[in-house]
This record gives sequence, C-alpha cells and structure tokens, in this order.
Amino acid sequence: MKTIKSLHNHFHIVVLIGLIISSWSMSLMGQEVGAEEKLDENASSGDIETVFAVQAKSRLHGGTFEFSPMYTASLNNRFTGHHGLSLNLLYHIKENIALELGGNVYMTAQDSNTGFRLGGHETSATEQLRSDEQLSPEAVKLMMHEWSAAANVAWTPISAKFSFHGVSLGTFDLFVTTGVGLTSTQFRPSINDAFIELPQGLALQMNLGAGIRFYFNDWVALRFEVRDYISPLSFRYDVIQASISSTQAARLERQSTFEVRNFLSAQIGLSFVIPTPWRSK
Amino acid sequence: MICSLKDSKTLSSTLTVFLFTLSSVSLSAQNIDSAVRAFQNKNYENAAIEFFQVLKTQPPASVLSEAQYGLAASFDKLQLNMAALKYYEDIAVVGSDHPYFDKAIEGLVSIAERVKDDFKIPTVIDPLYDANLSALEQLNPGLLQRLHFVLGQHALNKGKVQDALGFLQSVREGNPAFARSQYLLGLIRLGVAQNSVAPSYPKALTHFDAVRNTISLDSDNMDERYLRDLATLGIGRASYEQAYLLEEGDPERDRLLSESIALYRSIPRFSKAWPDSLFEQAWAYTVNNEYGKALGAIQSLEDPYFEKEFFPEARNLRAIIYYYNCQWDRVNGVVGDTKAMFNPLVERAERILQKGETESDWVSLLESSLNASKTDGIPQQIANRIAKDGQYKKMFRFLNELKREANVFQNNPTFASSNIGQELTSFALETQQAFSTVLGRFIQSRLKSVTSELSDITTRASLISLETKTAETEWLEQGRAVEGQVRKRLPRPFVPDETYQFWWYNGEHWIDELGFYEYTVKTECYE
Repeated sequence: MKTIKSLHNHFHIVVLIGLIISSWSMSLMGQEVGAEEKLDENASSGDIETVFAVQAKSRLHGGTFEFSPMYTASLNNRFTGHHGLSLNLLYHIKENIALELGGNVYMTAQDSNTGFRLGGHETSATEQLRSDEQLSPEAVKLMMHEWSAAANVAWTPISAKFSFHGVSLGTFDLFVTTGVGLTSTQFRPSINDAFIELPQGLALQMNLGAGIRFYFNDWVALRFEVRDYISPLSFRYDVIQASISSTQAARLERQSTFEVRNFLSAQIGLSFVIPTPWRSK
Repeated sequence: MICSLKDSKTLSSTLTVFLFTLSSVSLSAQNIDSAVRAFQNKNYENAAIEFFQVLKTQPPASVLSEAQYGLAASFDKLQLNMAALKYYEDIAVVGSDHPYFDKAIEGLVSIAERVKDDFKIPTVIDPLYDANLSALEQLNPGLLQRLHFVLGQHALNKGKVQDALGFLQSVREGNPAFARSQYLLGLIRLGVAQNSVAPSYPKALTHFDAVRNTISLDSDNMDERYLRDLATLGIGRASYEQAYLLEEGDPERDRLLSESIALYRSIPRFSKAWPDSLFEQAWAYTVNNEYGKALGAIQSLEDPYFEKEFFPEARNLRAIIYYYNCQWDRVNGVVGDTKAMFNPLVERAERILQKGETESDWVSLLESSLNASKTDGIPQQIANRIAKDGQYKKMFRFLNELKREANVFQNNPTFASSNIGQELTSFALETQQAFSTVLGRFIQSRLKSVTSELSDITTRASLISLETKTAETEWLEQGRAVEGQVRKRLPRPFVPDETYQFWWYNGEHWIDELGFYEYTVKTECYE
C-alpha cells in the first residue's frame, strides 16, 4: 500500500506540474487577450497597422539529436497502474520533423519492500473489489506491461515563446507524435494474497501523443507529453490452462477475454539537444 | 671691535644656516632612502607619505626631483589617478630639464588612457610640447605615438584639424592607440568638425577598415568592440552619403545603399552602437524605398527597451514615410503627436535655461532630472540625451574619480592621519568644485543645443504638416477622400524558410523581436 500511495503522490506531482503549466499558458493567453483588445480599439478606428517580426530562430533543430529521459506514469488507472522510466532518442531530420526511437520500462515495488520489479501494479480499486465484493475484473483488464518500445515520427507544428514578468525568456514548441512498436504483457494478479504469474507475452502497440518542450537554453528543455498507447490484448484461457496448476486455475475465470487497451500516460523529463557537425546553421 | 663682533655674528648666522641646511640635507637623504625602500617593497601608501614628507623639508633639487616622481609613481600604483596627475604635472611643467620628465610624460599618458581623459591631461602636455620637442622625440616610439594620439584627439576637439592629422598619422600599426587614431582619421576624412570641406570617402574607408582589421569581431574588450562598431557605422554612413548624391535608378546608388544597410545590420543587437545603427538603417531603408523596413527600425527604437535613448528625428521620419505613401491622416497623427510631445519639452527646457542655474548646480540638476519622478527639472528625455553624450560621460567619469579620491584621502586610515591626507583631500575637493563648474557649463551648452534641435524638429514637423495640407487640398479638389480610410490587416509577410519565425506585432514588448520589426505599407497614392 505504501508503494501505491507513493505512486499516487508521484501522480499528483505530475498533475500539479500540468496545472502550473496550464495556468502559465492561461496567463500567456491572458496577455494575448489584452493585446487583442488593443487591436480591437485600433480596428474600431478603422486603421490597423500591419506590423510583424520575421526573425531567425534562436535555435535550430534540424540535424540535431535529442535525448530525453523522462518519468512516466499511467493516467487511466482503473484496475492496474504503471509508472517507470521513459527514454527517447530523436533525430531532427528537419526543423519540424523528427524520427524517434523510444522505450518505456515500468517498475513497481515488491510487496516485501525489498526492491523494484518490472511491471505494473493492481490499483486499490481492484483490491477493494476483490476484498469487499468478492469480485474480480475480467482477466484481460488485469494484464500489465513491463516495457514497450516504438519507432515514432514527431511533428512540431507550433513554436512559441514565453516571458515571465519580462525577466526570463524562453521558447517552447508543441509537438505531436505517432508510431508503432511492441509491448510486453504481464499477467500477475494477486488473488487471495497469492500471485499467479503467467509467462510473458508480446503485443503490437501503436501510440499517439502530444507534448510541449520548454527550452531554457540552447541545449536543455523541460519536456512534458501525454501519450495514448493502444494495443490489442487477449487473455486466452485455452492457451494458458496447460501451464498453470489446478489450484491457480481454480482462482481464475475460465474464459478468454479480449480488449483494445488505451493506455494513457503522462511523461515529464528533460530533453538534451546534441548538435552534430551537419546541423542547421 | 664692533666690526669684529659684527663679523662674528655674521659668521655665526652663516654657520647656523649651513649647519641647518646640512642637517636638512642629511634628513632628506635619510627619508628619501626610506621612502624608496617602502616603494620597492610595494608599500605604496607609506612610500607616498614619506615622499611627501621629503618634499615638505625643502630638500635640494636632486632629492626634490626624486621625491616628486616617487610621490606621483606611488599614487599611480595606488590607482589614485588624480593625485598622481597632480605630481606628474608638477614634473612635466618643469620641462625636459627635470630628470624625471620622460617618466612623468609616460605617467600622464597612461592616466589619460586609463580615465579616458581628453581634456585635462592634453592641456597639461600641449603647451610644453614645442619647447621640449627634442626631448619628447627621444621617447620610446610606442610611448611617443600614444602621446601623439592624446594630442591629436585634443587638437581635433579644438578644431585644429591639420595638427590632429599630423599627430594621428604618426601612430603606427601595432601601437595600442592605432585603432583609435585610425577612427579619428576616418572622421576627419568624412569632414567631421570642419566647415566646407568635401569628404574624402576612399581615405575614410581605408581608415575605418584599418580599425575593423585591427579589432577582432570577438574581442573581449568592450571599448574596442564599440570602436569597431563605430567604424562599421562610419563606413555605412560613407556609403549612404555617396548613394544619396546619386540619381535614383543608378545601379551604383542601389549598390551603395545595400552595402550601407548590410553594414548597419551587422552591428550586433543589444550592443552600445545598436540604437544608432537602427536609426541609420531607418534612413537608408527610406532612401531605398523600403518603407516597411524603415518603419520597423523606428518601431524598434520606440520600444521601452530604448527608453533612455532619444531619437526625436525618428518621429519626423515616420511622418515623411507616411507622406511618401499618401497616408495623410497618419502623417497628421504623427505630426500632431510630435508637436504635443516636444513643444512642452522645449518650453520647459527654455524656462530652465532662462532661470540660469549656477554653473556648478547644473551637475546636480542633471543628475536629479534623470529620475523620472522629478517634474521640475530638465525633461527626462533631454537629460538622458545629455547623459549619454560621450564627452559628458568622460567629464562625469573624471568628476567621479575626483570624488572617489577625496573619499580615499579622507577615510583611508594611513592617509587620514597624515598631512598628505588633509592636503590632497583639499586638492581633490577644490578641483572637484572647479571641475563641476566646467561640467556645469558643458551641461548648459548641451541643453541649449538639444533644445534648439528639438525646436528645429517641431519646426520641420510643421513644414511636413504644411506640405500635407497642400496635398490634401489637391486631393479634395480632385474629389478624393483624405480621411476616413479603413485599413485592414495586410497579408502576412514573406518568411524566407523554416529557420525563420514569424510573429504578428500585437502591441506587446518582446525583447527578442527588437530589430526584426517590419511593416507592410501599401501606398495610397494615385498613379
């Protein structure tokens, strides 16, 4: 329980940072609204000056590598939850297009508090369902992931900038990303305080995501993103029944179940820009 | 007998004087040795006090000379520049007969370079230059060239252009004063500080190029970087002036204007020379019919970032650009704002000039006027303009140096407890008082010239207004509308490629956009 609570705290931190970023964005938007009002005043006089700034970007991404270690946590934790480490390596083939190789490793604390093991954990809702209602979710919904890896394409359509009380100045960009890969599946439900651990499997996984990078200087950025990992999962009782004991079999539902899982996760971390000799000048 | 007694008394007096002198010489010799030892041990404060004590014993000439130099050199080592200057001056005015004349000249030149003084030290050396020419010519060539720069700059300030040329041209490549000399030579070739002298652009360019070749673009020395930027501006101005003399459509005119604009744009953003380069850009773009870019440069100058800069003429330039594009209502708006802004400033400045402050009070008046909250002083924009004047900065730095040294002599425990502390405190305070008067006179003179300039600008604004009224009348006679135009936002600008970003200007202050603004200007003139 301690582990789970701690996990929730982590989740709260993620949410808190998200709220801060949102409120910051809102204050930026507030500024924009003020400016729009000013423009409206000009518009009412019927005389609008067309003024703009075309400036060379302060930092160019084309031809650079980007390495992003991030903390990741699942958001839609109905029956299972995950948190862990995400590593992404991007190569920016153009200013706004990048190829990305990424992977996540999910970890959870052992119940004995002796250390971490790979994989997710069951939520308190699942535990409560079992203890209070003597019920269990469908087996497929208890499947968890140990890791995932994908090849993605990222597109950065919007670059923007921010100032804070006119003192600090940075830029940020918004990106969307998509890709395909594989994820490991893990079935390790705790039933009557005993684990049933079945052999690992693999599943195809597609992901869709969007995020934001705040650049504080030329080589480091704060990166925050939300991704939806979509994978078809199946619990095939007919396949596994030969590999489990009769005691274990008695604790499991004896029917196969399927779902297309939307595994929504938030990731926050740093991005390090690694220039190359051929980077954009 | 009487006679004998008298002789005996005379002999006794003579003997007394002789013995006193002998003991004085002996005392001086002992003290000077002690002072020299303190100096050699780098105990400059004690050395200064001991040299000073030697001077007060009215020592023989040889000891006096050594004590004078020792005292000046001790202050020099302590970076007490004004005190060192005082004693180097005492040596220099004696001339080349003084055994430490060369050293004193070297000390004076070094102080002039250190405190960027081009008014006090040159006036010490200039009068004795001719009389001591043969001795000065024997100086180390490097030092002599540095001296020539100091004198050349002084001559130029005094309007003695031929003297300035002679001095400055003697400064050779490799000398620390070479780049500064070349810059001044470039200005002279452009005809600066001369009446009715045709500029020699090729020679000016040679000098400015020499500055740019001498100072590296990534020099760590900010003063050198600024000088390099000034030389770049000089070349840009030369190109602009030459282009201005050519007929529109002449390819050489286009080339020169493009060159001029490229040079102005090469001045690093946020550098000291940047505001000037933006203002010059605005003119060059206007002459090149690139009105949108000209207005963009003016827009940058009007940003709060440049609140301490004052380019009143930029307002008239904005009005002129609107005039060229037949946007009469905008011309009238800018001209009206210009008059509303500057007329009160002129009136206030004139009131202050008529009031006639005491010369030394101008310094404190200017300092207080730099504070925006003061409403009865010199208008803040004008005060900022005067405070940014290069000559004012030098004089103000000199005054501050005097204040700093008076403070040192008053509060340093070693000096404060000795006669030297009292004497040099009095010297610094008296000089400070006298110099405040000089600086006050300068401020008054600058206030007059800036007020006159502002008055001229409002007059020119009135002329633009008059021209606009004439044009409006012609339009009305032809049945054309002169006001009530509805202008919508024009299409987005051309963005060269994805390495560029484009932002609309929404009235917000974004420091990173400065220098990149551009307007889309659509002419409203009829064919």
